[in-house]
Amino acid sequence: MAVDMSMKVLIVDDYKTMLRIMRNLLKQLGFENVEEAIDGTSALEILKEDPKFGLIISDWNMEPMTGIELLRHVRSTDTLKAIPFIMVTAESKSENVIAAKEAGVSNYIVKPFNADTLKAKMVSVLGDF
Amino acid sequence: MSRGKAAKRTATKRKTTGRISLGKSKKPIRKTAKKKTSKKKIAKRKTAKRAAPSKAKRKVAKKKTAKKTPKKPAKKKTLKKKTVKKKSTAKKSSAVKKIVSAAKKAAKKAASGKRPATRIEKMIFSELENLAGYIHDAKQEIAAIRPDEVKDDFLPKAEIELGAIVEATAEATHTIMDACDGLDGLMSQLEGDAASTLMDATTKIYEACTFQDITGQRINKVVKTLQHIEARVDKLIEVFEIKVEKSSSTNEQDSNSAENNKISDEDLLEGPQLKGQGRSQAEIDDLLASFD
Repeated sequence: MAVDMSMKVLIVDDYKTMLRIMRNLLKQLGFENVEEAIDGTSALEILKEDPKFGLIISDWNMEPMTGIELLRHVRSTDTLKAIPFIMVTAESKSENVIAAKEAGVSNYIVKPFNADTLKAKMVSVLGDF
Repeated sequence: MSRGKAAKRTATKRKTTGRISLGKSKKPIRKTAKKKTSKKKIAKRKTAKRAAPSKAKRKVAKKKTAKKTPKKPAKKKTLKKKTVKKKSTAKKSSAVKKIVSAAKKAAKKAASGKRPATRIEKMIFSELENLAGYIHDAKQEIAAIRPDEVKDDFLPKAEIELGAIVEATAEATHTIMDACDGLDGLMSQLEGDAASTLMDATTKIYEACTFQDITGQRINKVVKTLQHIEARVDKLIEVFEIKVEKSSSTNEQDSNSAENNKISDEDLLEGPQLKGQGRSQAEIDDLLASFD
């Protein structure tokens, strides 16, 4: 099944520079319909307003709601649980990866990352584009 | 006197002395043979008599000692109750308490001069003295660190400087990405290899800019560590009841302002100033021009 390049992508990070970098990289990959959130709480509000998102890319270390808490909320909400979720974070310990996997993460990217890694993970989750 | 009584008297006399005294009876006198005692035995009896005090003397001595030492009252016999040992939950603290109370009692006794301190008591006293001395020295050293300066001056300054780093790197990153956005705009005007080369270059720039996110997170960790240190310093001040003398630091500041002319090279090494605190390039140019 072909990937809908016009689908909405939600990027979540408390660093504005990171949000900008991610937006530019996604634009280069062909995804221009991007929405931003600065933490898990505001991301959840955006999702509840409009659950029709094709992908969520989120950081882990945020306040008041962390990325993993957002993931758990998404997986426990009927209207949101099917949305693919990629964690992009500096947290690189095995325990973090295991915890994210147990929470239902679709894929895991460690910072700093490059555009090729981002594309590869997105392909593994969405399919070829 | 009857015959029976007289006979009895003579019989007893015979037994004791071995002699029969001439009395009214007409019977012949019988002399029993005297036992010959050796000279050695006689000498021994004499020395024993000299050494041993007489009965009378012994009685007098007894009376004297009885006067000196009062008689102890007789101990009343009471039934001892059997106590069941309770298991102490806090073994360590009860053991420590026992040692401390025993040391205190021993100290009191030794101080009162009733009895000299034992070897173990002396060891405990010296260990307690060492401990007290160590605590006193630790308090002085901690006070010498000037924890008030650390808490009110050094740590807040460090946090501000680190915050300034994050801000400066974020600004720089945005500037770089603004430039990249401009290059992305040019891409639409290029074709083929030129476009893909430009795209690769801007992609690498975006990737490199992720450093700002990592450095920001690391700096935040340092700031949290400093805040943790600040809390610990506060706790130390509280635990050791260190009196923070803030008046001395203000005295130093007064003396510095008074001797403003004497600025060392070290004083000039302040590093970059925070926003709004240093001089701008234009202001420095004006200042330099004022010397001409």
